[in-house]
Amino acid sequence: MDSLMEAEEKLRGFRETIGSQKLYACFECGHCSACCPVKRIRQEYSPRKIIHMVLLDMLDELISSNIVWYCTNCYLCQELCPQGIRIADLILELKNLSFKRGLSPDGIRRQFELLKTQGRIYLLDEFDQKKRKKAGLPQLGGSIDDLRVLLEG
Amino acid sequence: MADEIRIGVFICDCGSNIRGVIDVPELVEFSKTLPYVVVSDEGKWTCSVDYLSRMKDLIKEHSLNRVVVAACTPRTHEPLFKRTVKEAGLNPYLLEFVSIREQASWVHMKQKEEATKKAKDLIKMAVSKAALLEEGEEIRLPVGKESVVIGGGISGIYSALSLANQGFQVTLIEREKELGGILKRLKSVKVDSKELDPKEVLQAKLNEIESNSNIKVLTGYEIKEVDGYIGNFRVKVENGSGSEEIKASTIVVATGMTERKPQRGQFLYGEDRKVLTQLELEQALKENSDGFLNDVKRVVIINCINSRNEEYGCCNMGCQISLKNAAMLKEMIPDSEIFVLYRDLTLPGSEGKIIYRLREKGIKFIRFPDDRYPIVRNDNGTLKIEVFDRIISEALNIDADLLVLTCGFKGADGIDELKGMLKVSSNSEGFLQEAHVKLGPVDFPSDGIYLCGCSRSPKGIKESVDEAMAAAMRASIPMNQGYIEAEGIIAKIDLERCNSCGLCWKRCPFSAIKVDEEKRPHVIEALCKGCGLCAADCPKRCITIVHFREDQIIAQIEAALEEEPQKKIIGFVCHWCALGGVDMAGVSRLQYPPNARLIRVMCSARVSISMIEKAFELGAAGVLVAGCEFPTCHYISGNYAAEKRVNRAKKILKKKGYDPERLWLLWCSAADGPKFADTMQRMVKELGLN
Amino acid sequence: MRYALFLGCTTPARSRQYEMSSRAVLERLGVEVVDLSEFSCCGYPIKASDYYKALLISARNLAICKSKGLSTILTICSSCNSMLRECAYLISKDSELKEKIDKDLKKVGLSVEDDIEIKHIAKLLYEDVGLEEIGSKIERPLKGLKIANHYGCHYLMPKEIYEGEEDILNPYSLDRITEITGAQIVHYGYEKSCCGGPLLVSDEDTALEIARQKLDRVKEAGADAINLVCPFCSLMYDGNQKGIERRFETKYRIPVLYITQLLGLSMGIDSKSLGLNLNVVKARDLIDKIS
Repeated sequence: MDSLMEAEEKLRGFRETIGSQKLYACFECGHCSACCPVKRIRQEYSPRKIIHMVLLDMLDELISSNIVWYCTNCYLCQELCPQGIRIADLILELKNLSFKRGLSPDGIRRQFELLKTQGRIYLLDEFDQKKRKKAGLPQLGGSIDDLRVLLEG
Repeated sequence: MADEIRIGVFICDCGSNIRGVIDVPELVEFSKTLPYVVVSDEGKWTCSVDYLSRMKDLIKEHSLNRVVVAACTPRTHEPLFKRTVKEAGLNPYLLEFVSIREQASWVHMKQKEEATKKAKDLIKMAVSKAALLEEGEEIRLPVGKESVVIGGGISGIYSALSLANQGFQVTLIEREKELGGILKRLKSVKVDSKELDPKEVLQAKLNEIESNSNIKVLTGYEIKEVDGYIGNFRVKVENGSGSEEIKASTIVVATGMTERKPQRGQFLYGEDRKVLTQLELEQALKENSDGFLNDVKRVVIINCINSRNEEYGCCNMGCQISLKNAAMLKEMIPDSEIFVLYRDLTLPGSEGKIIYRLREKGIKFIRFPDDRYPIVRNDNGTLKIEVFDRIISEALNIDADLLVLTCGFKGADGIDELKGMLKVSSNSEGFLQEAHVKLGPVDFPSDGIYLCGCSRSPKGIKESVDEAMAAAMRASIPMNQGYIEAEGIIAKIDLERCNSCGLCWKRCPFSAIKVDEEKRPHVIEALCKGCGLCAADCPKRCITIVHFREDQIIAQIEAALEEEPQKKIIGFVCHWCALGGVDMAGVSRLQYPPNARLIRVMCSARVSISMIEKAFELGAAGVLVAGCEFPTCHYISGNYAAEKRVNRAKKILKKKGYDPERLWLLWCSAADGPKFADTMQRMVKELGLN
Repeated sequence: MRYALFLGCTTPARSRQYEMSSRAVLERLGVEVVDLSEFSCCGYPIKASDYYKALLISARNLAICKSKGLSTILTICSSCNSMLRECAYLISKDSELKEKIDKDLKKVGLSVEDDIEIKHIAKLLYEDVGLEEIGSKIERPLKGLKIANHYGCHYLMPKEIYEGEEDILNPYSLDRITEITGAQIVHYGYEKSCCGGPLLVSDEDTALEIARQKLDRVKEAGADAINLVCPFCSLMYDGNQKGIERRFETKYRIPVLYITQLLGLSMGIDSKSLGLNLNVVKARDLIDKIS
């Protein structure tokens, strides 16, 4: 998972079907950074910077800086990129990489664990179920065991 | 001319363009009252076939020996009327053409009376000059079929072959031991995104040269002296053992360019073996002495070295060269890391796609700020390069095994001496200057010498070859024709009054005046362009210009200022740019006050201090001298001379009690109608004439 | 036609009023829904951790749907919608992926299904039910009510999985539904902005600042309420509105309505059934604004 080639391979694996646009097509126009809702608040965050660092083989620095976790996955950069580069998908890939290296924010890891154990982010307790009944809503199921199997590993 | 002077005045209506504003019948009557005028006629469209025929009849009928045409601008139809007059049996230099359309009816549309008054003055001026006109003749110079090509690079080679294939005898002179120029030193070359082997390209051409009996190749020869003019050049060359003199009718200059290497120490250039320029890299790769690329795992290329700053502009070729070499290096060392540090990457045409291919191959591009170049250090034998990455907004550090610097270019070594010999000019970087970027891109201002290729500006093979063919084509025109015709407007020196001060010889921009052992000057008519600089500067007033003699111009001034001089401005406008601006103002119908009376000269340098003085003496409100914008004077440096002279004139005027602020200078391009009109407005206002 | 109602995680826990109002409106319009207790989280929260696993549990939901004899999933949440659709889209286009998922699903006794349609309730209203039908059910036009529509990101993008249903730069579905209710649409200039929700887990400050920018614009434009289609977004605008007010020392007091709450009001459904009292920012006074 270290070289640009492997990251590209992984990207290709998931998205070749939609039509992959190579990263090196980026000519640094800055459109992505211009429309990014996060960049408006946090100047240091920039989709263009992320692409550039990947092209320069600076994956390690990128992952260890945790900058990729600023992305809200809103897809605007990807939709507006004049070269059709799948920027949001790339950043998602980098987030996956970060997770694998144990560098993701605690909240993210917690959510993964929650899904593994109970199949939902929020498990409704008795109190919640009573409120549902009062409102005329059907009772909800409990935890889903299947996910424990599926999310293993 | 001892004969009686008989002048015919032909006034044009130009439809309603002139007639709609000016009372032409009144002009006709007025002209008849002028001295020497025997016939005055009005024509609806004087340039029409019908009228020209009538004109010829009238000339013959009244035995006219001078003709004045008052119509549009001489810049359009003077040649037509000259031809007509010639057909009627008169010498074409006996025609005087004044513009009462661009200078009167079109620009004073609401002031019909004033416009008519001005037209009358203009005709009066023309008639007084016409009375003094003399016959002139075109000079015909023979041109042979031999050419010399200076420089044996790809441009020189193509030029020589093109000329030789047309049947001309060509001597190709190269100062290195072998032909080929820069092409010899390249490892690879690209034309239209295709990679070619420079050796193959060169060899193919060399074979052609070898088998062409019209080309004589002189390698290892330096140019020592160049003399003469078109049809009669003498080029002296020397090699180690002897010298030769080559006679030629035309010369093509293809001296190429050299790299503008960085200073010693800049980016460690000259101090570290691992730092090279692009050309040095190509040469090293070509020779590949003892595995030049062994142990090279990281290469850094820095572009725009000493370029695109206050001193030097963009070198035009750097981006293409650096990317071509980056690709080449990546191919030779596949597992290397190649960095290209750049400010901008401009790749024309299909070259643009190459960036994607290079990135695909893994070449890394880092853009640094214009004002923050990378810093290169040598740390214990390792080349360390620190570059500020604009996208990451951080300084990155790269260790390199090889650093390649992409520098700009300058003219070939020794270009200063050569340009002195050829009497041509160059810019500050040593690139030779063509006559006109659009109207004479491969010509020099002097007839018979042409330039092409990198001697003119940095370019690739394709453009160099294009220009080489163009220069050969230009050279072939006079050689095919067998002669060139030079205009009869030339300088003539009266040796009796001359005191051999040598000023004319020193100042002529075309080196058209030679002096003998006693320093007596002699005009080389073939080279003289008739700018009038010498005539205006001559302290003894012994030089005259055909068709623009001092007495003719004085006569025009006197005629203009005969009545109400205090309301009038005498304007000297040069034929090429200033009159163009006047005409443009007319075409655009820009309205301005009618106070000026314009006198046409070929070059603003023609205007002497005595002419200016005369105008003030006779009571003119102001004087305007108008010429071409810098640096585009048609006569190379005429406007510079005019400026200097006007400044001197101001001092003299002051001493004589005239107000120097009433003498104005205007540089006006041929497209700048507004500038001329605006100057008229301002002048009238500031001189208090409104 | 019966729809498998997919509630997702957030709605039942944090915004059950969206479920209430959705059921009420759907009943009024005669749309039948089925509740499947086996539905798990759609997978969106773990997309960032492990994309494949997210697709996997998404695919499980699709398989569950099919196993109950249903072929259309109706979602309340935009994120759920995009996750499930992405999964369906990819499985249908990438046979390798489909195989891999099938193999893994077999571990829990299911097979991969790609022939499932996923619809967001807002799209159901706009496309399947249709504006005319909805219009005929309007009993109390919301005249005088100024609404700022928030489409959010996952309702429209990525455009490939939505196959060009709606122009991402000039969307209209929510606007049309809003118009039908009689309310007036207010344009505030920041329509395309993301709510910042996904950042809550990693950087709350930044997330709140992003949401704040939109609230500022909406307030400036003078809207009476925000209308949205995703409980995730409402976490920011509704749930965290007071927090943003405190953090940045401003006041908004802008109620946030889910599309079915807005529609329900115009259809004459009572506020209790629509769960208006459960909205964090008081929404009961909105009725007074309607002339």
